[in-house]
Parts: sequence; C-alpha cells; structure tokens
Amino acid sequence: MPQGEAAAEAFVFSPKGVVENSAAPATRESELVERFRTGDEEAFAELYRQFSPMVHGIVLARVPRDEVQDIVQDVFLAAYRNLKGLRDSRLFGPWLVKIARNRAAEFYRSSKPTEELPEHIPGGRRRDNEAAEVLRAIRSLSDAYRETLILRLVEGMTAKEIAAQTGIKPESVRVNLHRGMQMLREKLGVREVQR
Amino acid sequence: MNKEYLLEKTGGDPEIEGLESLLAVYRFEPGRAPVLPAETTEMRRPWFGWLRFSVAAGAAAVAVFAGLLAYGRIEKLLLNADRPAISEVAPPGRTLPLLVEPSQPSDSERSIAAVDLGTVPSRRTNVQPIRYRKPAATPSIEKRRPQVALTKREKYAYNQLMVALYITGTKLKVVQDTIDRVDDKTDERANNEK
Repeated sequence: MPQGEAAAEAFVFSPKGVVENSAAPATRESELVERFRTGDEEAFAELYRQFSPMVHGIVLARVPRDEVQDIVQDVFLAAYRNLKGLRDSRLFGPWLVKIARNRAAEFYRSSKPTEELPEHIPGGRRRDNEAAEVLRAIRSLSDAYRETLILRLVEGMTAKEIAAQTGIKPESVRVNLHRGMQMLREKLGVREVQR
Repeated sequence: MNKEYLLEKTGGDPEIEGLESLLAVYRFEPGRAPVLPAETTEMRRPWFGWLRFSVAAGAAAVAVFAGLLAYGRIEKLLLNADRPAISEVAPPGRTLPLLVEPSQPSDSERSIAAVDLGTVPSRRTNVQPIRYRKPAATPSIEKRRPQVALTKREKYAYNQLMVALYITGTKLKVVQDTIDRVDDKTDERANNEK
C-alpha cells in the first residue's frame, strides 16, 4: 500500500486543514464496506456507483480531462486492493479522496510534461471553448475551492453530499462554495474586462 | 447569486444554472465500471518464482556440461595434434608393456600356472615381481599449451569458449546465491548486528 494511502486510513485531511469525522454514525457506505469485507463483491460495485462522481470531480480538479477516467479507475482499483486494510469503515469517503489526490499527484510525477489544448481552438465550438475557459478558471483557484466548486458545478452534488462523501465539515463546504463562487466570478469577470 | 441554490439546489439561479449546463460536458459518465484484478492477483503464486529459478539453473547446468564437453574435446584435439600416434610408441592395446623376467618354473608350477593363470603367484615361485617400465613424464597441459600452434580461428573459438564458461559460471553462482538466499542472510546479519 502506498504511503499516502496508509496515512489516509489514520487521518482525514480537508483541503484547508485536518477534520476528524470518526465520530460519525454508521452510514450506508460503512455498511457497504463491511459487506465487501465479508466477500460481497456487489457491495463494491455499489460503492463505485455512489462515489465515482466524487472521485471524478477530485481528479478533474487536477489533471487533464483525457486522463481523468483512467485515474478514476486506478483509484477504485487501489481501493479494491486495500479496502480490507481500512480501519474505520465510516472513513471510506475521506480515504478515497486521499487516494484520488495522491493518484492525481502521481500522474504529474510519473508522466511526461503535457500541455492541454488552448482554450480557444480554431474551428472548435464556441460552447466547448467557454466550458474549457470556465474549467481553467476553477482549476486556477486553491485546492479548497476548486474541489468543492467542481463537485458542485460539474458533478451536481449539493453541499451536504459533498460534506458526507469527502469528510469535510458541512460548514467548511458551505464557506468554500460561497467564497469559491465569488472568486470564480471575479476571475471570469476580470477576463471579460481584459478582452 | 442565490445562495440556497448554490448550496442545496433549491430555488433557481440563472448564473449558476448556466455554469452547470456549460460544465456538464465534463460530468462523470456512469456505466464504465473499473476492471477489477480478480484473476491477475490470483495468478501470482510463490512457487512460480522457484520454477523460474529451477528452469534457469537447469539451463545453466546444461550449458556448463555442454561447454565442458566441448572444452574436453578441443583440449584432446589440441593435445593429440602434436603428440605422436599411439601406434608409434607401443603396440595397440598396451601402452605400458610389462617387463617380466620369470625364472624357469618346475613342472608342477607350470601345471598350476596353466590352470590358474590369473591368480597371484605363490611364495614358492621364483617369479620376480612385475616391474613396470617407468612411464615417461607426461608434460602437463599448462606446459604443453604454449607449444600448441593454434590457428587464428582456433584461438578465437577457444577464447569464446572460455568467455562462455565464465559467464555460465557466474550465472550459476547467482542462482546458487538466490537459492541459498545469501542476500537475505546478509540483511538478517546486518539487522542482528544493529
């Protein structure tokens, strides 16, 4: 097990600091984790269905779009292999977040430097170019804001869902969303003015 | 900006909805389940490594045997090249001729000898102990080697063979060390010393 994943079992890190959420009651995902530990493979498929948008959002906040799907699969593969070593089944979500962040970081360590296509591709559709520009603006924000904004705006999760799946405190999610949205508007507004 | 819509998706906000619809192209597409490694992890068995080592050791042993065989043949050929033919030294079938100087046996002894030729001579006989001619000192291979005039091709073949034998010997040592787990023992020893 990679070092980061082992650390993820013991602590839960929010983007802005340490958040310990181990006092949370047993949830549906902890039940699924327990079922998987007893050999129920279908439970892992259910976990995948439940958490894949969240993992996708975490990875999309960091790596090029073309690589996201592979890394998401890689994250779930790592989770599948190491899930039986997870001490507290209630921390499955935060543990998965940590794996996703580690895998995204590994992508940049192991891969050759690549460059994403420019925002305005000649001949490209205007709407796609606008989407790429907004995504680029979100990615330019700090970790705390870009993750919550992508989970909200791209994956369509509510603040409660984001908090429940990532282990971040609900108050922190609300603050991150609110401030992140303001910063995004400023960034997009500044760009419009510069043109 | 409608804060409720931002946090809980209740009510509506045209600006956020516009961003959502714009960024929908990046949304996760469900349906592609990860390829789980059920078979690949099961395939890794501990004995497989030993099987590989056994095969490698067997191949190395065969290579060494073939090398030694070839080496012996070449050496024999080289030695025989400048040695006179056996037929020139001694009659065929006997390279070290016996020099027996028997005395004149009595009639009874003759009869015994006629009957039992293969037995050890008794004390009563006057047969002198069998003396062998001292064989000429056989020059050792090392001494002979410089005297052998090898052709260029033979020298090349000889050198190649020596290199092959050296490599094979090294590989065998590695295999042997692996089987004996020399590294593990060294590590253990180092840990114990610590």
